[in-house]
Amino acid sequence: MIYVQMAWANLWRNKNRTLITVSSVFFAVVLVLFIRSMKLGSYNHIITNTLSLYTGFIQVQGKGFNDTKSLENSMALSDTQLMSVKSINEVTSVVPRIESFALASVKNRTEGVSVTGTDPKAEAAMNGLNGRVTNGKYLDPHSKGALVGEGLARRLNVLVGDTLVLLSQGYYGMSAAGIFAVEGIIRLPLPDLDNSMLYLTLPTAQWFLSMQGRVTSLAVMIENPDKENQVAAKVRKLFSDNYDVLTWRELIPDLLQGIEFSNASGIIMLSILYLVIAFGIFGTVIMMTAERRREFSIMISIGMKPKQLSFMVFIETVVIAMLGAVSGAVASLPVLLYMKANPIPLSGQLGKTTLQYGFEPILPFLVSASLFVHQGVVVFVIALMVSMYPLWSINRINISDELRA
Amino acid sequence: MAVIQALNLTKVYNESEVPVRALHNINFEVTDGEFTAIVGPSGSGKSTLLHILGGLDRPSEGKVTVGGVNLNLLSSTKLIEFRLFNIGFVFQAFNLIPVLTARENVEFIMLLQKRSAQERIKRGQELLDAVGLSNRADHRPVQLSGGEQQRVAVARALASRPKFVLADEPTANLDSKAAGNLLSIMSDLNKKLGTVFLFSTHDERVIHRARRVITLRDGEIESDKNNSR
Ligand SMILES: Nc1ncnc2c1ncn2[C@@H]1O[C@H](COP(=O)(O)OP(=O)(O)OP(=O)(O)O)[C@@H](O)[C@H]1O
Ligand SMILES: [Mg+2]
Repeated sequence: MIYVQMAWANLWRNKNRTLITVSSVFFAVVLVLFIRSMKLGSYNHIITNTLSLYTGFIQVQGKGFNDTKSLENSMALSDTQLMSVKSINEVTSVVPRIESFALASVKNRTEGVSVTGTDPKAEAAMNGLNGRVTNGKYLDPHSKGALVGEGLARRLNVLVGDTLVLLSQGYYGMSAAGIFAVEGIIRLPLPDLDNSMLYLTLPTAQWFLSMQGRVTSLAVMIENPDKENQVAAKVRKLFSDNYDVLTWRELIPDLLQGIEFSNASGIIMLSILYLVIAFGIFGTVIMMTAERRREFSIMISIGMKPKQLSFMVFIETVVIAMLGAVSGAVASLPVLLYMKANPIPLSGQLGKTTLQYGFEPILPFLVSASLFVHQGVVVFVIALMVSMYPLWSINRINISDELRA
Repeated sequence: MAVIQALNLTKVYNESEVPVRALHNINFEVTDGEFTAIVGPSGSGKSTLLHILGGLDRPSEGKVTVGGVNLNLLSSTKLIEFRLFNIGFVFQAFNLIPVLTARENVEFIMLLQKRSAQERIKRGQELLDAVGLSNRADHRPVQLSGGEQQRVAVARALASRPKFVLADEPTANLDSKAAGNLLSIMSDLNKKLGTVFLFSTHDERVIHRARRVITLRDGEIESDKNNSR
């Protein structure tokens, strides 16, 4: 292919021109990747933090539990089932839980509480709940007592060492009642939860609610959010039709909506950025085309068809766009990985607010294959669209005027 | 036999506010084997005329026929194809495709014509020999002097076996020696191959090499003489 050879040679002939165009694509890719990695990283930070504390990315539940929240829809969960989920490659941790409601009374005060029975070790591994203890101590596997949210403790006016009475309805309508010592106070990020949450160990909760061997959910955490659906499918294979396997999108649609809303404004910003980038590359291409008018005219005058010439120039642009996109991605990778490992700390009001919600006040970066593929492809396509200009201009060139000088 | 016929050629440029009449009512014929110069002061219309004769531009009025084909009747695409097979071009400077060597520049036009590799190589070699550049065949244009580049351009113009070669001020950027040398080569090839050469110039040093001299003034033919030696 003589045209491919010529295109290749053209790129080398004017190294500076090639370099300028390649770098305009290069910087576009670097910029977009940086901005996008930061934005997606902060979403990921929020999502991961929220999910690790509450639902996990994926949950196994008894059929219908998500709608009824009734213990009648709880599920039996064997150790084998638990281990088989845990042994899926992408899964980082799993926590079996019982989630229910009860009335808590201390002396003459009574408040509604959310009761969560959990495996303290697994819970700590998944979200560092043990680190949130502000008073007393965290639950150990044999604890018979309760861990109480700070807000709830205030409402009930209890301190570590006090006892409280829980009243509820257990599995199959069994009446449930128990006395529990407050072993620790924890601070939970979301105020609603802080005001209502009470943790027991799983065996204690099972005893209290008369549901030995049963749980309401198994929360599953994964590291790479891109793998969510893939892992969900794997989990689904492990369970029969008597179980539901749901992702957080179905479990807390509010969070998803909030993120999507924020992302929409991010996308608008991004589009503006794309536009700026497109004009940046466009400017370079206009310059380059103007420089080569005479060269193009000579080729057309001796009998080369604009189609053939366009093909040659198109190859040049594809190579330039590829070089720019690939080198931009390659150069960004170590920077983004560094930023991921060493996130920017958030200071001031923003940091405080973040902290109040229980999230680490940092701006982490997200590095994922899909980020690179998406942004690389978008900038590459922009570069190709801009490269329509030389093709358009080749067809409109007035060779007679160009050749007179 | 007439290779080129120009009939009532007029060219008016309407782009500016005041229309410019670059050519007015030009009539002449070029026959087989001619070696003809078009001369005239700057702005007299030499380039305009050559471009119209070569199918690079279209006349406002009148017509050009090449080997009996009326160029007005060809679509722009057909016109490109027509140029490829019938007309060779040499311009004032920067004629060559920068990324190709001298040899490749000469062969490229035959490649566009889809001639066989064997023929391309053979004819390319012959023509580079004829212009005295077989030893520089593998040099890129930037590695060649202005005179050498023009000689490669002449070789390229002939490579397509055209009916005629148009050269617009081929010696304008050359010193006397290189200019004389280029004209000798063109004249030799004209005699040897019989290819018609039509070149414009306002270079007194080379006008006398032409056997026929057409003089333009303000877009009209002022005189048309045979150079007797
Ligand atoms: N695109 C154009 N628009 C308007 N006028 C033009 C255009 N091209 C050429 N002209 C005019 O046409 C006239 C003839 O120009 P042309 O280039 O043919 O002259 P020339 O004899 O080749 O001159 P030179 O010796 O300087 O090359 C000039 O007056 C020039 O200004
Ligand atoms: Mg001229």
